[in-house]
Amino acid sequence: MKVGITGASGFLGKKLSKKLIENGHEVFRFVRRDPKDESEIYWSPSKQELDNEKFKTLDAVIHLAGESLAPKDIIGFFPFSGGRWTKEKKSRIYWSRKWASDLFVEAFNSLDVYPKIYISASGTTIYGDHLDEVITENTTFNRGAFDQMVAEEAWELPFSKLIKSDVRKVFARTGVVIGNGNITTQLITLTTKLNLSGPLGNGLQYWSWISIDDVINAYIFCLENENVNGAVNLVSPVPLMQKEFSKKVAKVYKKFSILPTPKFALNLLMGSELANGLIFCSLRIIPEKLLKLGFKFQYPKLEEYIKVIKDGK
Amino acid sequence: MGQLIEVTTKKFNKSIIFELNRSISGQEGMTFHNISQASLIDEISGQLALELFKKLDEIDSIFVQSNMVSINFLRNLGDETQVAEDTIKNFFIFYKESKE
Repeated sequence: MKVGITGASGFLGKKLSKKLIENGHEVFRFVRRDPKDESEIYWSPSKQELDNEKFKTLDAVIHLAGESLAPKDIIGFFPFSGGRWTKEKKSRIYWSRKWASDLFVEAFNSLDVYPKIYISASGTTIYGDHLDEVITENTTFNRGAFDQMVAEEAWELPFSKLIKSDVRKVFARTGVVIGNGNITTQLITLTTKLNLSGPLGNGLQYWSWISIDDVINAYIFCLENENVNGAVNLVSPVPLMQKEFSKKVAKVYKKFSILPTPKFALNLLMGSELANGLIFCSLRIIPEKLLKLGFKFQYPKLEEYIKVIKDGK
Repeated sequence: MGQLIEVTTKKFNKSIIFELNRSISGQEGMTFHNISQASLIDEISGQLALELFKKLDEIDSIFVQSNMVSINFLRNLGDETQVAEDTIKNFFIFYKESKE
């Protein structure tokens, strides 16, 4: 298949592009500058510009681009570092997604020839805090938080305006991605190695995590499996309470996980909105649709995957 | 190719109990509340629960003990539950093939 990818230079985009090529697909990268070769396609979400001629030739679009919700590095969590959810940062988070979604909807609706598969990143934050309730793709949203609104209004809702019924749309609602090289994993392993991990707040909030390997496999499964449609939860089958999550990681590293961090301290450090969005929001999500369709997780259990990370694979 | 399982079915409002002519788990029994829990168990009971979750919506829980399988639904499904009976009857045909 000819697959166009936005965000191809990001953490997920790079690895996904590589795997797609290994699987025999032809990958085209969306770029905001002048394309250097035939494998690049010009687009500019902020200017609402897209190379329609090249867009038409694609079989599928995988849309991953968007300003990161989390800071890019550990320093970014500190006040005045630019990583916190300031008004400007929130605006970039929202509009980087909304403009891109609007641009693709417009392209699909206005062209006679267009890709028949559209897979968009989305977030599990779309569900909003549900305490310990088990969440599936059919669970209703608890609205109110900024990151919930972003996932719903900027990633998914624009596609309700799509008039082409023969486009298979998939929204990959992805949980906390664990994998060597991303900021979440760096933070978790660093605090664990320094014996600084433990319950964050009361530690009872659920984290729905997934290994980067399973994220990539799930994207390819969604691309190649015609039965996949609509919202899909990209999370492992085992969501964990944060304090259990922390304990399991510590056990692999043979460290302690007993140091509690009060909620107010993290609110003060990161800003309460960011802390709530990334750390305290409780999302006990299961990948019901993926499992029903026969997807097999490579790493369903956290401790097995943390061992892989520890060994540097 | 595996064998068909003989099943006796008893319906009670939102619950169905299937009595099988062979045991598929130990005496301790195991409850599955969702497809994720079933997907983590490689034993026959987990794999059967996984197939039932795949084929039927609105399952509240599945309990497997020895030769008994109980499914509790979120609502009374009427004749739609025939799918569950067929899945159990044909399970070993599927299970054998998937393991080969």
